[in-house]
Amino acid sequence: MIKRRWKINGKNTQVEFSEEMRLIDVLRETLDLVGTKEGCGEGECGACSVIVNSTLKLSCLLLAATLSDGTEILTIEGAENTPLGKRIQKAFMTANAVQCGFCTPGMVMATYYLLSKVKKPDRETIKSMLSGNLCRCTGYKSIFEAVEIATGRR
Amino acid sequence: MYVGKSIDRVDGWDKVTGKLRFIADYRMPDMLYGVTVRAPVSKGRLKSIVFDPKYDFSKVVIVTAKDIPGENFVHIIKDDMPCLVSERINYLGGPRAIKTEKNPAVAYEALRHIKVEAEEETPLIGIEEIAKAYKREPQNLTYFYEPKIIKGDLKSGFDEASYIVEAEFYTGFQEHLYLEPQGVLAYKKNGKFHIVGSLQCPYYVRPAVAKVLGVKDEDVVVVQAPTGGAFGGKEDYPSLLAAHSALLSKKTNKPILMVYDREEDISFTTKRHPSYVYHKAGVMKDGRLVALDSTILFDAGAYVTLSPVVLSRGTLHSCSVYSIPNVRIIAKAVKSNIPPPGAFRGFGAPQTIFAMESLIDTIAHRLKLNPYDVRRKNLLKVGSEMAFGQVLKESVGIDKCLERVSAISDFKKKYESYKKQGKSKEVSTLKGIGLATVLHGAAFTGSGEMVLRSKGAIRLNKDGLVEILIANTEMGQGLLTTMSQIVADKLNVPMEMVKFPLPDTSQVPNSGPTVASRTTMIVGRILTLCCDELVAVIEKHYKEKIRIDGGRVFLTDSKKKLGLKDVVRDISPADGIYIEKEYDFPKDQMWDEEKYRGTAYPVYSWGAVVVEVEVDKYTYNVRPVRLYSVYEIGKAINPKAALGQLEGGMIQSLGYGLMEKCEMKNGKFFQNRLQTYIIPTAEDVPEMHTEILEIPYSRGPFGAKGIGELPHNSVAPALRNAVLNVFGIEINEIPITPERIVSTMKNRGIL
Repeated sequence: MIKRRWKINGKNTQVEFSEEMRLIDVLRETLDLVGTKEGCGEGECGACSVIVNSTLKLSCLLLAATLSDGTEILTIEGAENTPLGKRIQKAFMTANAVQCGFCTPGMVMATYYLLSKVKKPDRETIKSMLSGNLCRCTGYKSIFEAVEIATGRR
Repeated sequence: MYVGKSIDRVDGWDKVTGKLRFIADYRMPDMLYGVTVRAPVSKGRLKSIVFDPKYDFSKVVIVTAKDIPGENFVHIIKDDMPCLVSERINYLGGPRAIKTEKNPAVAYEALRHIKVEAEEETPLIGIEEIAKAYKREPQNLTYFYEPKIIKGDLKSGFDEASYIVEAEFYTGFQEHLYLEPQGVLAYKKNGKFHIVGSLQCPYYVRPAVAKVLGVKDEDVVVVQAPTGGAFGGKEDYPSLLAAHSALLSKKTNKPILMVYDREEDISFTTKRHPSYVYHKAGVMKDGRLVALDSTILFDAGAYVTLSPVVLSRGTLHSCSVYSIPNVRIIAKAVKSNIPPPGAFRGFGAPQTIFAMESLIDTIAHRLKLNPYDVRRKNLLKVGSEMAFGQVLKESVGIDKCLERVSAISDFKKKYESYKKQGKSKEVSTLKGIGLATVLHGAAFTGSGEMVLRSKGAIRLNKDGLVEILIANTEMGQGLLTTMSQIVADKLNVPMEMVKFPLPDTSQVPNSGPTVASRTTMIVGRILTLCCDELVAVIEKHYKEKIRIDGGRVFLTDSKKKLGLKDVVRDISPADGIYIEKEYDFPKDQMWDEEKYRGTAYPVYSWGAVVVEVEVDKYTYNVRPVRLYSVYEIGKAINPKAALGQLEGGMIQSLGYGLMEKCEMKNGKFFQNRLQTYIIPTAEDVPEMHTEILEIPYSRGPFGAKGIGELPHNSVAPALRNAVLNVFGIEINEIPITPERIVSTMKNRGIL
């Protein structure tokens, strides 16, 4: 078993997990943070996106043991408690950027990362930054609009 | 008023915050995980299952066909698909045994130590092989269903025609690719089997599981878990998965969770039926269609499942939005050795509409007419008789859709100008524009709704809240919100007073499956009937007319004012006021299944789309840049939810037409992962301009018609027609990948 001290959603957390576990397994199985979803297990769909040390990561491709003590992780469960996260979540509601909701946690986290790096991205930047997150329901247009609402563009 | 307003989804906040638990997020004490052992060949006889002697199987529980207490069939339409293979193997991967472990990783590990041995026979695989076999020796194929449509006199139609236009069309598999893979949890509680799962149709799962377990329907309780997309893919398959989980739960006496990973989900769950369509059309000089002779083949896979009804809808939509006087359509659902294809948004219509909409542009191309004009000459209108004898009575919006979409896209002019675009060396990008006009019949085909006799209910409970009690499921489309809007408006109460829990078969009547673009129109209507009845019950009790406003009840004569809680206390304090109504099937809607004639659908929704593409002259990559569309849907209960359905459906159709290649190699799907099965990403979608028109349907709630499937009929043929506009070559097979364009050009000697 491996022991680590991480800061998860702003809280110092001690975790214990076996060496073969991926970050998504630790989040979902050990910590019951099941808001992070597994859609493909091979880094194609983006449903497992979380923020690790201010960078967007696919938690299904990340071996948990590679994250050292002091790693800061933000998941969908913590997004609501940040001003940017809450603004994005409200914008997703307004734009009807949510249908089944399974891609939504990953999509919100990818948007969080985008808006924390670029204040007012144009449509092309939004498309390119969200292209790693698949959505089968919406056709994406409403998601682009949600991002623009969150930036105050709409 | 809520109807007609873009209300936020009632389940939205739980979704954007990740609080909503999907089935893979469920946990129960002592819960075990189940996995599936599968057949190794496409056709043959099972010989044995060999357990690796070096592996410790003591911690694993295994269920085989011998453990089935009831019947070894998963009931869908017919009882022919085994729950677990016992002898005959009819498709590769047919479930052979299922097993369980505490940790899913250990369960998968054990899976590698089991070998299934079988004697292999020659399988029938592939729609091209089926079409070849059909042309050679049709009597040697097995058909699950063979509808036939005859209208007018085909011979005199062809005699009258100035031109004969013939073409063959092929469409491939399409995977639903709902983001949440299939999953079911089964456990026993108080002597009943409980099934909780990601599913569309609780009342399909209940009898299927009861039959396998050999218990009464009432001994199985099916509850829908929040469902992460379905698109038809969770219509029939969950019955099989639920039966597997229930068998394991029975044998182990523990809760069993079975969740497929993506590869297993793509490999073995249903797909859109591959199709072959042959059209021979008799056409006048001005583009008017006077005769149509068609053959439609669907690859129906190893077992009947839903194929007859899928083919039926496909056949009935095969003339698209056109009135043709002389028609013969022969359609067959052909048995083969692939995992049974099933329901997928559009349910057979996207295949046949692709063929017909492509045929129209083929006619325009060969006769040097404008595709807009050819469509105008043939459009259905109120009073038109469809090929199967249905006369359209109301709410026909296709002419308006076509007019509007052509106007906003400037279709006619651009089509002519792109056709003439110079193939000069300086230009690296070629432009094209394509049109398609579509329809979709709302609700079950033929007499389906009459047989179904759907019942829905509402309860005014003792807290004065209105509960919606129906078996219909929220899978992303927005049902929880739109139904609440309908009930709130009908009763004139605030939406906060309307509650709509996910269905549980022990609590709700059977209002039918959530399929066939039927829920808003049919079940929505049942709910309005329930609301009317509730008002009548209250008036009967107080013996005077009432008016409900803002959650309060005003007695009009005595001028008394009551809360809804008070009304419940006065009328039925113990259980609340429960109102159940059955769908009032329209008396004039007659369908003769034997003659395959009559009113196939109570009403149709309509649409017209125009797509503009840019094609790279060197890579042949087709990039859709703009997508204009106009849909006529009766009434948008929630415009932003309706737009979400239309936009999402169109992008699925875009994937179908352009990139979702799914080939079968040796009985296995070659593209069985997200790395290889490609769906549209944020970067693949064009700029979209979508408009909604409303011509109310007299029997729809607030005039609403079905909408969910309609958009999936549209974009694939429009893309094909745009590529025809670019290169002047007819590509009659989707998806239109760069490889397909190059190989078509090579075959025609252009490259």
